[in-house]
Amino acid sequence: MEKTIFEGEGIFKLIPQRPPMVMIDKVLTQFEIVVSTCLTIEKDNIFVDNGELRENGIVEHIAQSAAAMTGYSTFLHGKEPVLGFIGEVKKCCFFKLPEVGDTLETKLEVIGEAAGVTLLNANTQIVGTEQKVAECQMKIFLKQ
Amino acid sequence: MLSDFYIIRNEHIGQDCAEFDVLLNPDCKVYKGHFPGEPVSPGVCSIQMVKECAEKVAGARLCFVQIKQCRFQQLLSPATTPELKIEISLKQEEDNLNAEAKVMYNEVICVSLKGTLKKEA
Repeated sequence: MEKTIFEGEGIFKLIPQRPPMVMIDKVLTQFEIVVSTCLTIEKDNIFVDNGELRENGIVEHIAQSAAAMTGYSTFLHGKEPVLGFIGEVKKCCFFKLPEVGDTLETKLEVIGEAAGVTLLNANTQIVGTEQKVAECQMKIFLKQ
Repeated sequence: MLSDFYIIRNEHIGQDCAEFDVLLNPDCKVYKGHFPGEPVSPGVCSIQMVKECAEKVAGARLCFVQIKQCRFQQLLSPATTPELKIEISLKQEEDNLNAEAKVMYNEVICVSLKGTLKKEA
């Protein structure tokens, strides 16, 4: 099964967020699921302060990674992405604030799904290094 | 970093707890993209407000070590929930600060957060 990469404005097919609030720039899929998402941190990113991506930007990147995952399955059904909201963030540990120029890669693992609610684990690290950035559990609600 | 997401209109800062009355700014550029034609305050911006209020209480720049739990119980938006109250308590534990905070609109809890922060060098 071939891999598909969504990038640039192709991301807009998967998530409803638009600039300056877009916090993923690459989505890699295989076997009809999202394998990982990436974000290269630009200096004009609205969550960058003093050359570092702050904690809330990391959490938003993870939330949009989850949005892309559910958005990809609606995309496969030929539909527009629906609005999603963070319901809960749990056990979210921050290990290092990434810097402008770093590329984040996030891997998600769905641990539960029911009635428009998705529960998942996320791990974020800096591409090309073993440096962990954050790990957390998140609950996402989709607008019905 | 978004510097115009909200303004603080009133603050009561005690030894290790505090209350802030804040007003959300509908003109913040974040709403251009979250979401077009349907402004919803990003949950992570509530986390930022809580952290900045904690910084005022601690008198220092802070960084989250961990968000143990943050629940978003009600959607926030400058159109429907413009005036918010933030209650926060901080407890020193070794080198870190344990924070518990609530963001409320009209006495209703919209966001509750428990987390650990450290002072930045």
